[in-house]
Amino acid sequence: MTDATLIGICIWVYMASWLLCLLDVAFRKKALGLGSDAAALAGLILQALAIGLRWVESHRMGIGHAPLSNLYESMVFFSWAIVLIYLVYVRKVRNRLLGTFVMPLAFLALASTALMDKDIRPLVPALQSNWLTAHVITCFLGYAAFAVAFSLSLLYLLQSRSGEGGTGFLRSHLPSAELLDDYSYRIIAVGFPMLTLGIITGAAWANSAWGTYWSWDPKETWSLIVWLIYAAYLHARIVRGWRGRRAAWLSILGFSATLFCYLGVNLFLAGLHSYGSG
Amino acid sequence: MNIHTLYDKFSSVRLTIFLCILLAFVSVVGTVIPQNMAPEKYQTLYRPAVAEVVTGLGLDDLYHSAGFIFLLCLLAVNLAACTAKRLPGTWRSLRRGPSPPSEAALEKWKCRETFLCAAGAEEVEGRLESIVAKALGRRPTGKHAEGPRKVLLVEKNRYARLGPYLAHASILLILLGTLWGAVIGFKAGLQLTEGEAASDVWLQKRAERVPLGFQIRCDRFVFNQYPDGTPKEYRSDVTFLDMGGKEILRGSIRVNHPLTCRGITFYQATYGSIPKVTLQLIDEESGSEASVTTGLNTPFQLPGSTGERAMVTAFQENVRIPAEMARVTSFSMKSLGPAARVVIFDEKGFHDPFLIFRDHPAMGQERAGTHRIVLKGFRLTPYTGLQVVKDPGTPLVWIGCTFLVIGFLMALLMDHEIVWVVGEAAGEKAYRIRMVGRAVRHPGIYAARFDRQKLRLRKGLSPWLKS
Ligand code: HEM
Repeated sequence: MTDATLIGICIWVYMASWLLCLLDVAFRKKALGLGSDAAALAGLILQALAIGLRWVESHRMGIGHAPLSNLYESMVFFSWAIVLIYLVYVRKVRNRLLGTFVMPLAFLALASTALMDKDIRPLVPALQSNWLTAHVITCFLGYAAFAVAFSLSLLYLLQSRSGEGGTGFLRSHLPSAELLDDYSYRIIAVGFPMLTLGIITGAAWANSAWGTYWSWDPKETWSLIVWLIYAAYLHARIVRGWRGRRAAWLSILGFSATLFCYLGVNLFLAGLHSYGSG
Repeated sequence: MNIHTLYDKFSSVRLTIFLCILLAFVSVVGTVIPQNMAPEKYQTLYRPAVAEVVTGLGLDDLYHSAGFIFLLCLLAVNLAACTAKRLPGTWRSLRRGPSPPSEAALEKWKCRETFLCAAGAEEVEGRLESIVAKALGRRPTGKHAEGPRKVLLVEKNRYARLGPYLAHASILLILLGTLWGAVIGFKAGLQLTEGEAASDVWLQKRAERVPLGFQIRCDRFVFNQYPDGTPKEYRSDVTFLDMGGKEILRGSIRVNHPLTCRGITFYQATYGSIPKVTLQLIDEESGSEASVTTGLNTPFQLPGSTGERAMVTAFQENVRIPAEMARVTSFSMKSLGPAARVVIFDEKGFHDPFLIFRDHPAMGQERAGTHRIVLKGFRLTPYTGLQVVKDPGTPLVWIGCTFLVIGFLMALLMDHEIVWVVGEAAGEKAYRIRMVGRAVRHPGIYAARFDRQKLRLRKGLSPWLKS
C-alpha cells in the first residue's frame, strides 16, 4: 500500500463526510452530524497515516526527509490541516453548514494532487534544513485556518443576505451572525500568529541557506501581502470595531491572496520556491 | 492643521489600516515587474515608453525605492506615535483594574443574570466569595464593599492587553535591526580555489575592499551527487587563520550550515571553475612565435608587435550552437568545443573582440589583424563561491521576531474577561445577586461561556434560591 492509495481513499471519505453534512443540514438528525464528524476524523487519521507512510518510505529509500518538500506533499498537508482545524471548531460553532463549505476545500485539494508528480525525490542541499519542516507546517496551518475562516465569512454573507428577505432557510439553519463573525475572527486570530511564525521560520531558513533573511523574492513578498491584509483585518476589527460584511469581505480578500501566494506565484511569477514546479 | 491634529492623524489606526493595505498593493507591483534586471532587459520586456516609466519611477528596484522606504518609515512613525499616545493610559488603567459597574451598566450589559435568594445578607455574604470562586473557577480578585452593596470581580488575562504593545515594539525592533545591519554590515561574494586564502573581500556596491581581520583558506571543495544526479552536498572545508598565520578555527561550510568567525559569517553560495588557457601567438609579418598561459582579463604582450596587447575576456568549455541557428546555417555539429573570447588593444583603444576555437583553429582569425592566435589548451581550476556577511542587526531581528510572536499570542488568543458579581439586601430575608460579564475581543463566543458560568453559579446558590 502506498501513500497515494491511502490519499485516494481519503478523497472518498471526505466526500462522504461532506454528503453527511448536507444531509444533516437538510434533515437535522443527530446521527447524520456525528457520522459526518466521524468520517472527517477517520479521513484525518488515514491521511496522517499516508503522510507517515511516505516519511518512512523516504527513509527506506535512503533519502529520508519530512514529506513537506514539493507541491504534492504540501497540498496533502494543506488538506490535512484544513480538516484538522475544521474538526477543532465544528463542535464549537455547533453547525455543520460550515462543513458543507470546508470539506469540499479539503477533497478538492486532495483531488488536485492527481495531476502532480508523486515521486519521492532526494532533497537538494538548500532544502536540507529543519527550518523547512517548521516553515511548511506553520505556513500551512495558517493557510488552513484562513480557509476555514473564509468559509465562515461566506456563511456570514449568506446569513446576512437571507436576513434581508431571503427564503429564511439559511437564516434558520445558520448560527447567529454574531457567532459566525466571532468565529471567523477567532480562527484568523489563530492563523495569523501561525503565518507570522511561518514567515519568521522561512526567514531563518533563508538566512541559514543564503545569508539573507529577506530578499523580496515574489513568494516572500506575497506572504507579506497576505500578512498585511490580515493585519489590516485584525486592526479594523479590534480597534475600529468593524464587524459583519466589511470584515467578511476582508477575510475573503485575505484568503484569495493566500491562494495566490501558495499557487499563483509559482504559476504566474518566477521565484526561488520549488513548490509550483512539481 | 495644527500640531495636535497632525499628531492625531499620525497616531490613528485608520492610518495603520490604510498603510497596511497600501503597502500590500504596492508590493504586488514589485512581484509583477521583475526586479533588479539590467536596464536593457526592460527594453526587451516592455514597449519603450513603458520601460521608461518602469526605470524612471524606480519600479525596477521597488523595495529599495525612496517611495517604498518612505511608506515603511510612515508605518514606523504611526506605530511609535500610537504607542506613545496610548500606552500610558492603558498602563494606568491596567494597574487600577476595572472599575465597578454603575447601576446603569448592571442593567445594560448583554451578558447578565439576576438571582434572588431567600436568605439574609449576612448569611449569603459570608459564603458568596467561595461560591463564586467555585462556580467561575477562580478567586475573585477585586472586592469592593460599596455602601450596602458587596461587589466581587473575577478577572482573567488582564495583562494580555499589553500584547499589542509588545507586538508593535517588536515590529519597530525588527525594522531597526534591518536598518542597523544595512548601515553597519556588508555582504560580499568570495571565490576561493583549493589552497587559496583571502584576508579581504571586494564590495561591489561600495566599490571598496574590506579587510576581514583574519584569513580564510579553502582546503578542499567537495560536490556530491545522489545516484540520480541531483546535487546532494556542496561543501567547502576551510581554515580560519589570524593575520600571523596561526589557526583560529577549522570547519566545513555547507548549504544551510554556515560558519562564523569573529562576527563574520560565511555561507556556501555557488561553485564553479576558473579557466586558464594556453595560447600560441604568431606574428605573420615577422614570423615570431610565443606561447602564453593566462587567466581571464589579464593583459599579455603580442610577439614582435608595435605596442599591441591582448587579453582573454571569456572562456567557455563547450560552445553550443542554438537549435534555431543550426537550422539556418550549414553547421552539421551541435557544438563547437572550447572557445575563448580575445580582445586586442593598444594606446588608442580596444579593437573588436573575437572568438577562437580550439577545434576549429581557422575560425575568427580574420579579426586578429597580422596576428594568429591559436587556442592550444585549457585547464579549469574549481573554486567555491562563498557569501560573506557581516550583519550585526540580525540578533535584533530575531529578538524582535520572538517577542512579535509572544505579543501576538497575548493579544489575539488571550482575551481579557471580566465578571462582576454584585450582591445587596433586597428586604428582610431576601438577597439579590446580579452577575454581569464580558470579554473584550470575543463577545459572541464569550456569551456561550457566560451561559455556562451562570448555570454553575445558580447551582452554587441553589440552597437559597426561590424557585
Ligand atoms: C504594522 C504596523 C502596525 C501599526 C502601525 C499598528 C498600530 C496599531 C494601533 C494604533 C493600535 C491601537 C492601539 C490600542 O488600541 O491600544 C493597534 C492595536 C492593535 N494592534 Fe497594531 N499595529 C501594527 C501592527 C500590528 C500587527 C502586525 C499586529 C498583529 C496582530 C497588531 C496587533 C494589534 C492588536 C491586537 C491591537 C489591539 C490593541 C487593543 O486594543 O487591545 N498590530 N495597532
